[in-house]
Amino acid sequence: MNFSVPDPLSLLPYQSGLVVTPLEEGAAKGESQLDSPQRAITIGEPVPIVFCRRVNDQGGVFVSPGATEGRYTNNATTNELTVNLHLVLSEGDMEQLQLRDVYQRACRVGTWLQTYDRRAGTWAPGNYITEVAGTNFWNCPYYCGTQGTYDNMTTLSYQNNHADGDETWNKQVHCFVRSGINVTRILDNTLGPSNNVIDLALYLIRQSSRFPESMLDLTAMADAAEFCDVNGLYYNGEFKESTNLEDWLDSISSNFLLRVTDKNGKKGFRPRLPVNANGTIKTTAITPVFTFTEDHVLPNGYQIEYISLDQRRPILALVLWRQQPTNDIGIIRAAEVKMAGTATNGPYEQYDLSQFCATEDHAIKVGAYYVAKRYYITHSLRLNVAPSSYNSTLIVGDIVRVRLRRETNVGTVSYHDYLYEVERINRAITGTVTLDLIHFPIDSEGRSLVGLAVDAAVGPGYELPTGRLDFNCDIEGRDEDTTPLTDSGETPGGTPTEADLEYEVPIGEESPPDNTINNPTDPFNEEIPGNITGLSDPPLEGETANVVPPCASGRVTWYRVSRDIAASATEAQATSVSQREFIKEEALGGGWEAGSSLVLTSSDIDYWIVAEASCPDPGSPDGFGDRFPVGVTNLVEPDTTLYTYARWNGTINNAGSVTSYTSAWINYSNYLTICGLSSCGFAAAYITAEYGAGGTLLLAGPAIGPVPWRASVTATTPREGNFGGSFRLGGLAQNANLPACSNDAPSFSITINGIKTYSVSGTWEFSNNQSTVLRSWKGAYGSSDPILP
Amino acid sequence: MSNRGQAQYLRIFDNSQTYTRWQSYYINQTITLDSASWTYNPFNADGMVSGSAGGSNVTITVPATATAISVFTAALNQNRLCEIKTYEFDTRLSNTAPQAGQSLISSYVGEVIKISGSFVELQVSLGSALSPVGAQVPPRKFTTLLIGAPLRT
Repeated sequence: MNFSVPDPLSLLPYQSGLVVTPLEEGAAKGESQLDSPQRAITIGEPVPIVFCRRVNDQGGVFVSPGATEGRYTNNATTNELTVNLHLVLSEGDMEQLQLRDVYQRACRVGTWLQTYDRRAGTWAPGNYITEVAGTNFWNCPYYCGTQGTYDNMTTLSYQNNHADGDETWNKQVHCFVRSGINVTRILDNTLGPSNNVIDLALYLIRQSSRFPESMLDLTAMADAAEFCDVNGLYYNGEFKESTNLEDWLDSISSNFLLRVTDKNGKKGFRPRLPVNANGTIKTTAITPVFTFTEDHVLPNGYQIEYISLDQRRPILALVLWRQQPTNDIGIIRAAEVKMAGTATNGPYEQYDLSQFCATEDHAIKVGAYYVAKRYYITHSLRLNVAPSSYNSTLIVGDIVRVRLRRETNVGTVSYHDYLYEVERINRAITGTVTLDLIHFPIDSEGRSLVGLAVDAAVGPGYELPTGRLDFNCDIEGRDEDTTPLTDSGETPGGTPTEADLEYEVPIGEESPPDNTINNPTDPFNEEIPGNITGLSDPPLEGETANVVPPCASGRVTWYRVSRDIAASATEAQATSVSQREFIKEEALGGGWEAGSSLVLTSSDIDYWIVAEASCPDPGSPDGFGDRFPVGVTNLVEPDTTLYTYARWNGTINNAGSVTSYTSAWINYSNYLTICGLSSCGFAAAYITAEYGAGGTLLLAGPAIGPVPWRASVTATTPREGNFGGSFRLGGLAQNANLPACSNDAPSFSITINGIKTYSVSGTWEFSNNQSTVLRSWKGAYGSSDPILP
Repeated sequence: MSNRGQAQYLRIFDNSQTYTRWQSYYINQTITLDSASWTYNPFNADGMVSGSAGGSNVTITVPATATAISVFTAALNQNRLCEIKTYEFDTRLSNTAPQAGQSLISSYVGEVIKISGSFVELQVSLGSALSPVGAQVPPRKFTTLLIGAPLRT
């Protein structure tokens, strides 16, 4: 059974990104510590992605690359230290940095090289420091790194000299990146740097190799990219913290006024605000595409959820962003955004955009959205509606109107009458449609209140001084030197190869197991060992059968089963109690090992004898548990040695013509028998079958015999058609078959003409005085029927 | 009385080819739609949701025939995509073949991400292999092959 439970409506504001509350607040993550020790890269940490594009003097990102190799040498006389560092700037390729954009600490110093997909510089790593008398010993790292392939990475080589005793030799180097890694931009389909978050999302989704291209909604992505571009929402950041892709997509989208959507199974982004065809925020009247009324809503199909107080209370949004001057290190700014006249003294809610937001308007618009949606959007709605014309037209993002009549006072009619944005559509197999809707507040002119608030939100444009008074520590002229870094490097030999580091698990081919099933038997389902002893085979009247139950003080029950009900001993044992004749039941005492005995009588002739046992069970009403079989005999026969005379008494069925016949008494010496089928042609002989052209069976008879004490024989012609011939069935004989085709009674001749059955069927009767019948027996079992192929 | 009929179509494919086309409305018929043949196979797909991420829970219920097991396990093993389309039409006009004027009312594409069920019935879940837990980006990590044994400060 399958249960399908829709997500609670209360989750909708969270799933749709309407409610975005930062879980933690702290120092701006976009801040760089300028004077810290140089960071070394550790195996396993993510390769950073520098993603930015400075346009119109806005954007770019300040990064502090880690070092992978170092070389330390000093002058044997002056002790001047020369430091070489090899740094990884980013995954991917990017434009050459400019000399004005590379720093050690806050100073533009050093000699720099930049390359891609190989090692920058040609120096060999190592510590070659020697002690110079009368100077300070340079305590440089001893493990200076080995070389790698630097596959698909932008790398840097930095070199600088430090006079004896200079304590800045090991400080962090920094770069201001104006153009990050090259990607194919979705908006102009051009390879180059990008500041569009959609390009970054697509890059990450594709690079993560976890999402097929067919499941990307590239149309929605392009629309979202245009929305970001038109409204100045740019990504200028270094992506370096390991995270979950879906988490990141969800969190980053709200900071670009987008929401992640799952349209037809395809992942995409959609603006949180109504937009025009050109991507600008729509500030004109909104026309709903459909109006839902009582005619559409199914019974119990209306569910409303108001957004809780904690998500409605006005806040002062503290939006952190990064002011980035053209020729200087950027600074973190905090923009304070609130609805007019509210939250003058808080509460504050901090949104840290400093890792990627480098424009004030972006920060202000995001802040305006957060405070405005808190102020205006009050509830969400779930409607279950019957299928109708909107089935094929309504799509996610459409604006609809819900107008439902409400009468709670006599003579007064009110309406639930609001606009909503379709957030989710669930079309069930039953045909019903479930719509998850988010309140879409409008003003008196039908314009989106949230859209108006965000569209109008722009920053004051105040440029905050950086606080730096001079650039004395720079090499002179560097602050305006736009010379690109020299592209120089090497593909070092002797680095480990993939064969040195990788191991591929060989793929085996799965096969089904062989056909042998050899399970151990379950003793609880096996037959309990036991049997009937004391009898000959076949058992004879007058013999004594004995059964010992498998438990002390057990009980034995005896039954007989007619040969007319069961065709074999196994079938007899499987019969139900109602098919059996009860003989006797004997509960045994402590001397149970002797078992229960049964003397076979004339009543048992032509019967299978079945014995069942049961063990003591005080919980059972009769004190014994279930009966289980412990033995079954073959058919009981009379002891023919006890009688002098026998005769046959029965009927002759010649294809439906039935006559009775009783033979004379015969003083037999060994046995009597009824003969089988014989062919009366040129060479008369007993046969079991007659075949026609092509091996077609025309006539089938019983075993040739002689079968001692066989009392019945049957033959059949299984095909339509007159095939003629001369055959004979039956005949009473003693100690051997009659000569073939003898006409001794009870017998008759047969020709093959249509589908028919012939039989001689009767019993043996025994007597010692030719008048009193002492026993009657149906004869030997299993040899009467025709042998069919 | 409603005259609205809905027929579902299932297609399993990858970048190179389509492996399976089933429809569940026209019983014991192979019909033609979009110039392709769709064989009858009883299934139903439910939970198709468009909208905010997190809402979709598409499940296909299908008899556990040897064919169905083979089709879906291959899709799971080979990262094949499964597309479900639902068309709407007027049942008074025809029930023998897709109507020219039928409307596409829902469509869903996903990877086969989970198969479960009983000996006689399978439930096939569609979605993406993008797990909601676990670190995935940035996709590359510094390895020995990339940077050797790095500097230790």
